[in-house]
Amino acid sequence: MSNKNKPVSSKKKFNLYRWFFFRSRGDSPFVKLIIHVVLIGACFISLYPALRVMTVSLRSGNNLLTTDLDIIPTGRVRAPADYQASQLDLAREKTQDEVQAVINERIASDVERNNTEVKNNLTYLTIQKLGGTVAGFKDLKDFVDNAPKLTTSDLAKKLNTAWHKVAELSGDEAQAAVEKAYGTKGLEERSVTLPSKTKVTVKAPAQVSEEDLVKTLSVDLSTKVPDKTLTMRFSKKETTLKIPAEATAQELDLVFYKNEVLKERKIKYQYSGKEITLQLVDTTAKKQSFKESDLEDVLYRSPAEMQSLLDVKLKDSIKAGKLVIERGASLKLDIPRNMNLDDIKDVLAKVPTGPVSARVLTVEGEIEQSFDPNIDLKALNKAFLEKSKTVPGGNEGVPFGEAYIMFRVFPGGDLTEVVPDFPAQASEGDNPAYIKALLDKQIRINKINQKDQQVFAKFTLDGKPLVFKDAEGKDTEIIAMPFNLGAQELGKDMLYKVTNAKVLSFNTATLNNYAKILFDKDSDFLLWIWNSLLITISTAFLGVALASTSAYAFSRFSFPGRKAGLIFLLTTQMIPGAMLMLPIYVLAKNLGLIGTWSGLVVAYSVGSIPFSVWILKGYYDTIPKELEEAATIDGATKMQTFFKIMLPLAAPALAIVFLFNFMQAWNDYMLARIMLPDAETHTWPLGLTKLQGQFNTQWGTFSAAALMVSVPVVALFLASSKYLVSGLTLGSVKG
Amino acid sequence: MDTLLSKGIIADSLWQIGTTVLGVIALAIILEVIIYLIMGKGLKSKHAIPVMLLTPAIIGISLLVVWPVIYEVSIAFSNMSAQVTETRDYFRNPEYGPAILFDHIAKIFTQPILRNELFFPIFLRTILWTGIQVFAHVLGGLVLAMLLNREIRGRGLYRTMLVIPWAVPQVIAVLAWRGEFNIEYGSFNTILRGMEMAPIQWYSDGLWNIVAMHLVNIWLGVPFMMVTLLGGLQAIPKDYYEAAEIDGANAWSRFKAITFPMLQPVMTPVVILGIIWTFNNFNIPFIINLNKLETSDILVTALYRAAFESPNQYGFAAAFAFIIFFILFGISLVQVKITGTLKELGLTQKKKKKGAPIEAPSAEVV
Repeated sequence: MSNKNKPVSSKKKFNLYRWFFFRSRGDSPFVKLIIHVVLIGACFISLYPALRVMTVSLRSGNNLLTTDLDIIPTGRVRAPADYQASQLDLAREKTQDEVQAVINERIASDVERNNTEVKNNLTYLTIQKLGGTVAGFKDLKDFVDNAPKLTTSDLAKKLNTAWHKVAELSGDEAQAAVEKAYGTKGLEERSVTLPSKTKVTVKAPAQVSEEDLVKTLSVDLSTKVPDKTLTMRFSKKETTLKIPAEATAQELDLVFYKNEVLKERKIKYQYSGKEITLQLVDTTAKKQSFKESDLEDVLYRSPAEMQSLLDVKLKDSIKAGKLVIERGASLKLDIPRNMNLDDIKDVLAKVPTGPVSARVLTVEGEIEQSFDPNIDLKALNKAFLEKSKTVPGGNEGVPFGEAYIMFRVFPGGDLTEVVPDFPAQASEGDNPAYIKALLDKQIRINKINQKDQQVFAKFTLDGKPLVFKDAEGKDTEIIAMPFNLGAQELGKDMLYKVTNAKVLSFNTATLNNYAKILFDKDSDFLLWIWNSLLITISTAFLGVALASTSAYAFSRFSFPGRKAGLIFLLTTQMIPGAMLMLPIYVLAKNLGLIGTWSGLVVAYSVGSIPFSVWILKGYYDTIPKELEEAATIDGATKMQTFFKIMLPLAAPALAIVFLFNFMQAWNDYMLARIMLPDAETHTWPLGLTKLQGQFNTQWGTFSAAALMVSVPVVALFLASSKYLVSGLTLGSVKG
Repeated sequence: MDTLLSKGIIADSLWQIGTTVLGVIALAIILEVIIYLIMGKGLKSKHAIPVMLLTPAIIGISLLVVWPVIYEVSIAFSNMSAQVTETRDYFRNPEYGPAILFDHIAKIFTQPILRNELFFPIFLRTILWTGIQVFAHVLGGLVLAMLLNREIRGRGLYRTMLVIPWAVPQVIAVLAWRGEFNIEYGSFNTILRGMEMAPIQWYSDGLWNIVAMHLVNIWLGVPFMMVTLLGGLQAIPKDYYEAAEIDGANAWSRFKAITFPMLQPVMTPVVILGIIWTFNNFNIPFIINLNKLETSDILVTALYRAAFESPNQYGFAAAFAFIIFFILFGISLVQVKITGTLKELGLTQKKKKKGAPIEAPSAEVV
C-alpha cells in the first residue's frame, strides 16, 4: 500500500472503481466487465417485451405494436436506363414484382425488335411504391453530364415550353379528344409525331392536317389552370417562373430531367417559407460523381415533396377531410346446442333488422338474415340462453356447441376511429380505390384468406360514405379490413401518397388507455380483478392447508403405500391438462358448480397438491427430527408439535407453496374458461383474452390492462424470490 | 361507475367464496374427527395420524384426478362427440365397446390426427421440441447462474431482472411475444428490414412458426432453471474450489470435477420436471400458432384441437390422451432408470444419507 507511511485518515476516500470491481476479490476487472456486459444483454432480452408493452400502453393509438413506422418501403426493380416512369404502367397499387414483370415484358418486346442497346443498358430504377415516382439514375447522370450550359432566361424559357410538351394526350384520352373535335365519321389510323417526338397513333379523319391534330392532342395547361410561382435562383440572380398549379412533383421532375437544362451543375433545393429556391452550383467541367443517396436527396425531390418533408402542414398543402372508420367484425356467437332451427329463428325474429348480413350455421342448416349493425350481442346471447331453457334439454346446455352465427357487427365505441385531417385526394373515387388497394396489400401480406377476413369497416369522408368495389366489381360500402391496420396508419399512408413524405408518428404518450380500462363505463376490468383476487387468495390458503398436512405425513410417517403415493403424485404431473377438461366439466356440471367460483376454488387448490407436497416434503425432511422428539418428551401432542414446531420452521417453504398456488390460480385460463361461462364471473385472463380477440386487438388498452395485472404479481414474486430459491433447492437437494 | 362490479356482486362473491372455504374446512374437520374416532380410538391403528393427515388430499385428488382419469378411460371406449343426429345424440348417449377403442387406436397411428398431419411427425416434433427446450433451458440457466455466482456488483439487481420472464403471467408474456412476430410491426421483422432482408412470415411459415415457439419458450424457461441452479451452486462449499485451485486444476476441470457433480442432485429433478412440463406445454405452442398451422402442433395441442375444435371427437381424443400419457410415462421411467433419480429423490430409505454431503444452501441469495 502506498499510503503506508502517511497517517491513515479516519474516512477512506470512496473509490468507485474499487467499489465496483471489488478490487481485492474474485476475477480480474476485465473478466468482470465481460460478465457485466453479458448479464446486461441478458437482462435486456428478459425485459424487452415488458418495455414494449409499456410503450404501447402509453400510446394514444390502439392498433399497432410498434413505436415508429416506416410506412412504405422503397422497392427496386431492374430496367433499361432509358425507360421513363411515365412510359411504364406503374399503377400505384402494383407491387415491386408486378412492376418488374411489366418492365420485363417490355424488354422482351424491345429485344424482339432487335433493340440490343436495351439489353446492355440495364440499371436500377428506384420506385417509391405508391408514390409513383420513378426515374433511372443512369439517365439522370447522362443528362447532368451532357446538358449544354444555359443562362437563367434560357432555363426559364425551356421550362415553360417544356411544360406544354408534357401535357400531351395519348392513348384513350387522345382518341377521345380527336373524336370530340372531329366527330366519329371517316376515321382511319394515323400516326402523329408530337413536339416531344413521341409518336401517337390515333384514329382520325384523313382530311385533318397534322398540325391541327398536334394542336388537338396538346393541352395548353397554362390557359386552363391558375399559375403558381416557383422562384429559382441561379448563381446569384433570381428568376421567378410561373408554372401551372396542377404541376405535380413527378411532372416537374420530368421537366427538369427531360430538357437537358443543366450541365456540370448541381441543383440544390432550398425551402424557405412558401418558396422553393433552386440553386445551381457550378462544379467546373470535371466529371461529377453522384451517390445514389445524394441524388435522391437533392434531385429527386420535387417542391411538393420538399415541402412535406420539411414541414408537414396538412392544412396548407393538402386538402384535408374527416375520415371516419367504423370497424366491425365477422363474429361467431355460439348457440346452445339443444335449439333447433325454428327455435333459433324465434330468437332472431326479435332482433332489429338492418343492412348488415349474417349467416346462422347449424347442423340442421343455414339461415341468412340481415341485422342492425349496432346489435347488442350481450342481450342476444342472453336471449339465446333464456330461450334454450324453455326448449327440451334446457338447463343442460353443452359447452362446445356446433351451431353458431357469423355476424358482421359494427359496435361503435372504441372501434370507430376518426382521423380529422385525413389527406383527401383531388379526384373523387381516388380515396376508396387507394384505401382498398392498401387494405388488399395488407391482406396479401398477412396471407389472410377471403373466408377468414373477419374484420370489416365502413368509411365515411366528410360525412359521405366511401363506396368501394368488391371482388366481383360490385359497389359496396363495407369492405374487409385487416385487423392490424388502423386509421392512423391509413392516414399516414395516404399522406405519403399525396406528398411522398414519410411521417413517423402522430402519437404522443398518454395515460388514456389506463383511464379507459379502469374507469370507462363499459370496462369490466375491476370486476375481473376482484373475481381473480377472491378466487386466488382463497385457493392459495386452501392449497397450503391441504398440502402442508399431507406433506407432513409423507415426511415423518412410514405407512404402507408411502412410496407409491409419492410416485403417484409425480405421475399426475404427466397427465395432459386438456385430457382432464371434459371429465372435470361433466363432474362440475353434475354437482351444479358451473358458473360458480366454488368449483374453481376447490379444483385449483386440489390441482396444485402434488407439486406442493413434493416441495414441502423436501423441506420438512431438512428439519431435524430431534426437535419434535424433544417436544414430545416435554408432553406436546402430535398436533401441537405439528402446529407449534413444524409449521413455523417451514414458514419459508409454506410461503413458496402459497405463492405457487397463488400464481397458478391467478394465471389459469383453460379451467376458468370452461367453468365460468357468464360475464359477471369472469376472471382477468378470460376478460383480457376477450379484449384481445373479439374484434381486433386493441393493443393500447390491452397493454395497459396487461401491465396492471402483471405488476403486482411480479412484485410479489420478486419480493418472495429469496425464499423461492432456498425452498426449491432444499426440497430437491436433501433426500 | 356503471360497471358490472356493483355492491350486490361484491357481497355475493364474498358470501360464495366464504361459504366454500369454510365449508371445505368444516368438512375436513368432521372427517378428521370421524377418522380419529374410528382408527385412533376404535382400531388403535398406528397409522391413524398419517391417514388423518392425508385424507382431505386423497379425497380431493380422487375427485379431481382419479375420477376424471377413470371417466376418460370410459370415454376412450366410446365414440362420444358433440355431434347430434336425428337418430343419436353422440354427446349424451354414445356407443361403447372395446372395438371402438381399437378403432381409435388404429386411426391414431394410420390416419391424420387432425386434417393432414399423421401421428409420427407430430410425435417427432414433440420430442425435438422437448429435447431442444430442456437442453437450452439447462444451458442458458447454467451459464447465467454461474455468472451470477461470481463476485460482481449488482448481482441482486441482475437476478431480479432475469427472473422477470418467470414472474410475468404466462398468457400475457406469450401474447406480447406474439405481437413481436407480426410481419409488419414486430421487432424481428423491423430489424430484418433495417438490414434490408426479406421479412419473415412468422405466423404462416411452418418452420419459422416453430422457431418462434422455441424462442419464446426459451425466454420463458431459462429463469426457472437459472434460479434453481444458482441455489445449487451457492450450496457448493468454496473450499472445494480453493483446494482444486491449489492442486492446479484449471477452470474446465474444476467445472467437470466439482460443479457439475455437485449440481447433479439439484439438476436431475428439475430436468425431469422440465421434460414433463415442456412435453405438456400448451400455452406457448397454442398461442404462438396464430394461424393454427398443423405443422406447428405438438401432441398436446393436437389433442386439444382433436377434442375441442370441430369436429369435437371426445372419444378419439380420450384414446389419444392416454397414448400421450403413456409416452410421457415411458420417457420418465427410462430416465428414472438411467439416472437413478428415485434414489436422489429420497424414495429409497436406506441409501438416503449417501448423497452428496451438501450443506443446506443459505436462504440468502445476495
